[in-house]
Amino acid sequence: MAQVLVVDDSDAVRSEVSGFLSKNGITVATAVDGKDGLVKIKSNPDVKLIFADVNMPNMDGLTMVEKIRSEVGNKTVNIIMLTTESDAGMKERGKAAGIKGWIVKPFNGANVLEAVKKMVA
Amino acid sequence: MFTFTIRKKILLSFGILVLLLVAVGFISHQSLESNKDKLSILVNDIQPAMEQSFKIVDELDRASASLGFYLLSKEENNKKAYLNNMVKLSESVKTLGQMPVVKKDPATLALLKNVEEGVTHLQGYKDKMLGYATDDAKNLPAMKFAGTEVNPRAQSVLQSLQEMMLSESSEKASDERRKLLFDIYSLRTNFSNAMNELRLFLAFRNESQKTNLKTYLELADNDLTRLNKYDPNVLTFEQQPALENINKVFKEWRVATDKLVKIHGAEDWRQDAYVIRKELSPLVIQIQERLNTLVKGQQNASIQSSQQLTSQVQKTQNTVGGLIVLGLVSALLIGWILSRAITRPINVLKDNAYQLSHGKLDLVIDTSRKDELGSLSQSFADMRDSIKKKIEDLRVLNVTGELMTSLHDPLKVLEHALRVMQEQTRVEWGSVYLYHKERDHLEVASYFPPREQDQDTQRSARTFKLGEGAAGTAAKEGQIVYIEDTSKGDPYSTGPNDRTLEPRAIICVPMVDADQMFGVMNFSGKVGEVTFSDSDREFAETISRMAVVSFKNIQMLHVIEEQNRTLEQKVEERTAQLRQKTNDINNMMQNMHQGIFTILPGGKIHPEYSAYLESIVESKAIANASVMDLMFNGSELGGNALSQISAALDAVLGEDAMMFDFNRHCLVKEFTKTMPDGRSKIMELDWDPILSESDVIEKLMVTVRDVTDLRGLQAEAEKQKWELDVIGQILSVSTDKFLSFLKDAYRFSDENEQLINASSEASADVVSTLFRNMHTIKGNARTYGFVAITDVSHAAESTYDAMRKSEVAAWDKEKMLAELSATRSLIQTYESIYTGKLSGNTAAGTFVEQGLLDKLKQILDGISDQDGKNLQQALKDVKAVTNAIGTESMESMLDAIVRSMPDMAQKLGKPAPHVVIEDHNIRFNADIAQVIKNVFTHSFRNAMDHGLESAEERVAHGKPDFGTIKVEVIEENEQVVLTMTDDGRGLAVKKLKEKAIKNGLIDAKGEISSHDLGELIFQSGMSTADNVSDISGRGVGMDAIRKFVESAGGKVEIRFNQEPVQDSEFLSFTSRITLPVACTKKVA
Repeated sequence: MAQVLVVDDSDAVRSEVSGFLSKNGITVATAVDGKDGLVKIKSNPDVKLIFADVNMPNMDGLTMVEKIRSEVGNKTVNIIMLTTESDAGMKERGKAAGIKGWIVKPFNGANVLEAVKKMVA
Repeated sequence: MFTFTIRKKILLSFGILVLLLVAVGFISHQSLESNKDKLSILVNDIQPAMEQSFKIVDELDRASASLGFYLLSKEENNKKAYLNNMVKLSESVKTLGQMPVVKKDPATLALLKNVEEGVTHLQGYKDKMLGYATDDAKNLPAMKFAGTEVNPRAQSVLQSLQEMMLSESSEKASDERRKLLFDIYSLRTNFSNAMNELRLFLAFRNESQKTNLKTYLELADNDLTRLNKYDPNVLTFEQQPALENINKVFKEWRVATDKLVKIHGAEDWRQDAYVIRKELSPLVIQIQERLNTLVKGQQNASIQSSQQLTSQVQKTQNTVGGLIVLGLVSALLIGWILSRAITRPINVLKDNAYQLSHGKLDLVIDTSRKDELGSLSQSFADMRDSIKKKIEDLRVLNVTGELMTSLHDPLKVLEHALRVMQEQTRVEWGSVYLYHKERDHLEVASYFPPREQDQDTQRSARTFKLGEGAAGTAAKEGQIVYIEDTSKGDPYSTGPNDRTLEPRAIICVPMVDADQMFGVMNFSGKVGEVTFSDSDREFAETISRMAVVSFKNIQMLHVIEEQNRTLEQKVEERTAQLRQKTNDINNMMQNMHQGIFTILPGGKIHPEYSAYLESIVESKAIANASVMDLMFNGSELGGNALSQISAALDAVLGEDAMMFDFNRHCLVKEFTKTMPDGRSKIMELDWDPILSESDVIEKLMVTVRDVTDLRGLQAEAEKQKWELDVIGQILSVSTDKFLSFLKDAYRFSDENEQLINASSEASADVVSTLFRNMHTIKGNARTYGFVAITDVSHAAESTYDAMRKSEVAAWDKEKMLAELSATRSLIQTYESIYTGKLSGNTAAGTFVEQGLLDKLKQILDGISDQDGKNLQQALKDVKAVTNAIGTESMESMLDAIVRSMPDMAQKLGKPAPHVVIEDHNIRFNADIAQVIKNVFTHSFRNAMDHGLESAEERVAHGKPDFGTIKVEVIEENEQVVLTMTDDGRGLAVKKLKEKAIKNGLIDAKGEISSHDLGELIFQSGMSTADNVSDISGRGVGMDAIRKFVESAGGKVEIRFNQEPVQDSEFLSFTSRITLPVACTKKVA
């Protein structure tokens, strides 16, 4: 019954984001790369929001997002990408895949808690 | 008459097909039923008999095999198997004989009888064969013969040979005897070999053994011949009979042996094998042959049955196949006939429909058929007619609509509606009644044909209530009312007036728009002439709706015209307001002391920004500049922070509103920017998103403030606050202790410095001394609460401690000196605060009022970070207060003496006086404070002792029983004057004069100016008191006061409050101490 899926290859980011959310009563599933992310989104159909890193081994975040829309066929889940830099090409791809937007790392939980709660409600 | 409708045709065809299906099913079932019987015979009778026959063959084999095994191995389990199989064999044969197939066929039965006989014969051998197995003597005749005839003779020969050899052993040896012994031995050997070969022959029955036996016997014969040739004298007494016995028995033995070889070499040397070969095998083969014949017969029967079955199935297949083909052909035929019957007329209709859809409304449609298609064609023709009418209606409605919208007079519109209805339904007269809301009735508005005004005055007055008559009802219900003939009954008739009219047809059409009722169109015509079909209802409704719409449009047009006239005015007003607002905003943007600008997607700055931004960033090239370049070029932010800002801007601009919250932590709030000329500016930024209606962040508004000065002031305030803390710490210990702390701290740090400079490695002694010294400094600082010194000395001490504990400590001279210097400079700061702010020196401490410190803290704590003005005020206040440090107020200086007054008064038997001090916020430097204290200590004591009377005396003079002493500080001619006066009896001037005369200070007449009189009291030894109290009266008071004051650059005098009279005893006076302004500070 996870509400949020956090996909990042960095242990630190994963535990930071998921730790913050679960401390605030939001259930979280995690994945270590894009491939894992696809598996987890299939096994967690209740997920309403995905935080996904862009640069990851095996499968990058944008490819994963595109596959979630096309292969998994989940058109409704909210997706927010985590990134460290900005790139016009990436933004285009993100927009085409219907993502909510971008967070520039580091992740700051306190600012976003309300918005997250609204999205997973 | 019976007609074949399409439905009936289809039902009939299906009936035929169902009959065919039933026939096929029945015939197939019958054929399969007869096949079942044949199959049952094959499966239930023939096959079990065959199986039983095979079982008998198998059991016969098993019995033979187990008998063979038993005879060879003599094992009991084989015997059991043999007997068991023999029993089973007999039972199986009997079982086969009971089976119907066998019973019914005499030939088979005879064959089985033969088999049964064979088996019985076979059973007869059972005991004989088992006997052979248990009795070898019976089974092998050679063995028996050898035991009785051969072996005893051989024993006898060997016995005699043994005796001959034993006898030889007692004879004297010679060549001849040795030869004899050799021959005896040779015979024995050859005879023994012959016996061996015989035994081998008995065992294995080989020809080579027979040959060997013959050879050994010849050799033995030779040996015996040689022995017989010896001279009988040579032979011993024992040897002679032994040789004779050998000659006799050996011959008999040879005969027996020949016979034995013959018996054992014969065919029946072994009885069991012989019987099997000669008797049992032929019997078994015979039984098997008969069984084979039996099985073959059964196989033939089985094959015959199968063939019959196959041919019967083939026949069934042919029959069913034929029926299926017949059915298929019939179905196809029926289908073809049906489709021809149905599709041809439908195709005709389809063509008709196609033509109709392309507008050919005049085509001829054949409606002569009697079936469903005939009625479909009829409906089709009706539809064509109805479409024709609708199209015509539509055309009329179109034209009418166009015309109506072009009319500007509501009455013309209504008239036109009436005319059109007349053409459509052939009514003769029409009228329109409009609904008047305020009067709640329908009132006539228009006629057709149009009437002369005067002619219808009477009729135009005609009105209806809602629900009254046909028209009222149509209006109320919102539905068309149609009465074909009023004479045949008019349910809506309103009275006799209507009956007088000739019979008419009436149509009332309500005029309704969006549930709002406008009125009714009322038509009438001659009965029989008026036609009003269902399609005309729709037509009438449409006409009524069009009339209403046109009517409303005309009304709306009036309203719009009216509004247009006022609109222009409103637009002008609004424009003026907007212009004003824009001006206000522009003014604000021009005059605001903040930089405000907005960032567009892509990071460019919008051309409209507040004017002050230019002076903050010191550039005019702002419009469309990149925000990253304009704001952050020359900032102290690193590449990573900048790329983070840039990325965050990208992630926010043009995105969903929530993305601002997700990324705002990356947008810096404050940074330092180095301007081209090297100055640093601290910028403070506020970021706010500007959202579009769809909650997308269109722009980011940024507010920039140059907070360089503010941060400077804050830093200064922080420093002052810190210094104040330090002052508090210093003041809380006594001067002595502070000075001794300084002395020790300097001494220990000097010592450490020398040690560090002199050593080059961490010897235990040195480190231990360093540690001890620093520990003492820290300990002292902690004792006195010098927090900052405690912290910095703790750091140095920790370094030494680590070196003390470590085995191989590095000697980091630079680090140690740096730490030492930090400690030392902090101690110096404390010292400089002490000497500077507290005006302290090594000799004495300075008094600082606690109230001052409290006030300072209050001010500094009350500063809010963001408020520059407030901060500046606070800073001013702090400066004022810190200015006051090292100074003292009058009240504070007199505190001790005032507090001692009640005690002193009590000693003198007087009530405690009131003390009033007015200092007008003038404070005195610490260095003059002691002088002032000394002066007033004397002055107060004088006043208490000499000036103020006892309570009784005061009351007698009409004064309050307690005295009042008043001290005032005023500024006068750039000097500060301290005055003191009391309400006592005054100076004892008479006594003073007397004393002065006595001392020769003035002449005997006592003439003296008022000023000089006052000066007298400052002469040494001029106390006027009668008795010397321990309060005053030693006469050293006033001259001492004058010395104190003059040493501080001031002067002291007394002034009488009234002109002295010649013989006045006492004179009221005021003491005045004048000091240079430099000794004071005026405090706000």
